[in-house]
Amino acid sequence: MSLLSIKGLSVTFDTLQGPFKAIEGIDLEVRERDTLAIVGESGCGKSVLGHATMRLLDDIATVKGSVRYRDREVYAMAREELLAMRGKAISLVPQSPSTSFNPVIKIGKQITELIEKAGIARGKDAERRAIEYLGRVGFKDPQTIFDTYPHRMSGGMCERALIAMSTSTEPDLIIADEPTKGLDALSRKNILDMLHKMTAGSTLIMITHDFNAAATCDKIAVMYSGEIVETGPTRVVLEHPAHCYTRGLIEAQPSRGMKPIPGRHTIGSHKSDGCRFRPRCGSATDECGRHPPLREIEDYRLVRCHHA
Amino acid sequence: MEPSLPGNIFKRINDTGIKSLALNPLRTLGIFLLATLVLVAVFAPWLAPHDPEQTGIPYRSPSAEHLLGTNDLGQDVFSELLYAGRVSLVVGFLSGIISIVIGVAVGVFAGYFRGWAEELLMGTTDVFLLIPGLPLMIILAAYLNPSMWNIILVVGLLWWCSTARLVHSRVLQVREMQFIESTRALGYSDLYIILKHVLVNTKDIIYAKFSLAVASAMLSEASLSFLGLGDPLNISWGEMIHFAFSRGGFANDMWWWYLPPGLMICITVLAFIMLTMEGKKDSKILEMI
Repeated sequence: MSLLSIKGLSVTFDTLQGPFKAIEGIDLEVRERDTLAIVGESGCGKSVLGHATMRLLDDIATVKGSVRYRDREVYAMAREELLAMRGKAISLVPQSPSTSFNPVIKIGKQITELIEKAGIARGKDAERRAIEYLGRVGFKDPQTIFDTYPHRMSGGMCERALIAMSTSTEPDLIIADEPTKGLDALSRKNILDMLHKMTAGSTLIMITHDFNAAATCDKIAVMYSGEIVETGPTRVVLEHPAHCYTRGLIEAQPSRGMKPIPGRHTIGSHKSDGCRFRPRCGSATDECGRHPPLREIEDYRLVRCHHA
Repeated sequence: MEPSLPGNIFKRINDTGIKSLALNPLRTLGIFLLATLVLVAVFAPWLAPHDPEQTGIPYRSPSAEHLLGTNDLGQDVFSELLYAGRVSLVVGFLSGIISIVIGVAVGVFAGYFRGWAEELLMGTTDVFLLIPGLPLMIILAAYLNPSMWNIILVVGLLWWCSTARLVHSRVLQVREMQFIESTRALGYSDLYIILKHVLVNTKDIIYAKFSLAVASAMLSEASLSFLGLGDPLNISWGEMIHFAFSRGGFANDMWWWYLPPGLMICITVLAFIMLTMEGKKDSKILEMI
């Protein structure tokens, strides 16, 4: 049974320049204990997808489609049920760790607050649990971190504290939004190892534009311009990319010679109905004037390309 | 792009301990003055040499018996001064609390929820700001019964607008910060987020604004009382000046009657303003207020 099932999800922001389609027609199945990486360049709608999954956008955007979590429709939940689900069942590890904590409350108090809110423990027990999780994410002296204000910590430390906080309620699904953003190679590796260790037994969705981070997940979904263009097992997709965009992204990696993809990433507004990658695609044909569907090319592999 | 505030504001919000006072002599002096004033007001019955209601020989000059002489009814001015401090401080504090509660509630609600609530609330605030305060207070005080509680209500209900605007602008900044989104993602209710996360990031301006609101309320009360619109049963410093003015204190140049209450008002207002003083020059709080 799938833990999370997204069908036809679209998010449209109303802007002064007219409607802005951040994501469109997203279909995604996430099974229990999956680790899924969502990759794509900035602005492709990765974070919007993560936020829309938790119904964090419905008061500022028009959200269409369906998100089912354990066969419950997230967008039909009563407010209390939704609030109870967030943080306890689904946890978000937000981007920009250093600004994600309230700057005037000590780290420990913020973690304890969540543990108490989720009803896992109270008072001293909750504090002990917070310290325990701070220890688990690799702080040598968790008590000191517990009594520290967020602005005294580095970005990497805040990221670890955030992971400790998000996992302290043992949620079933963790959505990590760019957990390796702004870190050097070594810290990146540490954070990734630790994130996988902390979320073992849970389902992890990692939003990233770092292929090394994506490679640590079992499955991958590549997004372009608000759509999923390719999904499948990470190893297969990275070794034999079927979509031209995925191929371009992989070849743009520094380790692969850093070949840029020509053209510019268009987001939000699309003049033609065709394949969205067509203006940048080297192997586009007339057929690409028709919008390609996401179709299965092998078992568990879906690609949105006429030529795959 | 992430909206952010100058870091030093947040780093200093929690600097309310004893250590920070040592670096801030003005604030220390303000606290000291205010503590003295409050203690004197609380212990007035023990400190006053005479019952302020007890009459005797009128218009006496200062002497060992009557430190500041006597008024037109022969009441001891020094004792009256101590008792009047109670009224002035109570009026100031209660009006300050009323104005701060309304101002913060309006500002936070408008800033956090935005939308039509913001339009309505901030529109109302703008209308209130347009009303010339003192004339309206005079009219209200003149038409209502001359009681201390009416003065408190009138002053409190007219002093919240600037607080509302200030809190509103800070909340607009805070609500867009990442951690508010994080708390929403963790499933906290709006009320909880406001109480536990938005207000703590606004507390520095609330404290400062409260202090200034009390000072302003005391000045308004003094103005109303001086104009004879105060509560004759609860004499405040403003009213002492009123009586000194209307009953010959000024005409006969009896400085010991009208000067001390005026000085007390100045000292108290100054103490409240010193409370809001920041030690470092780079602080932005006073500029914002």
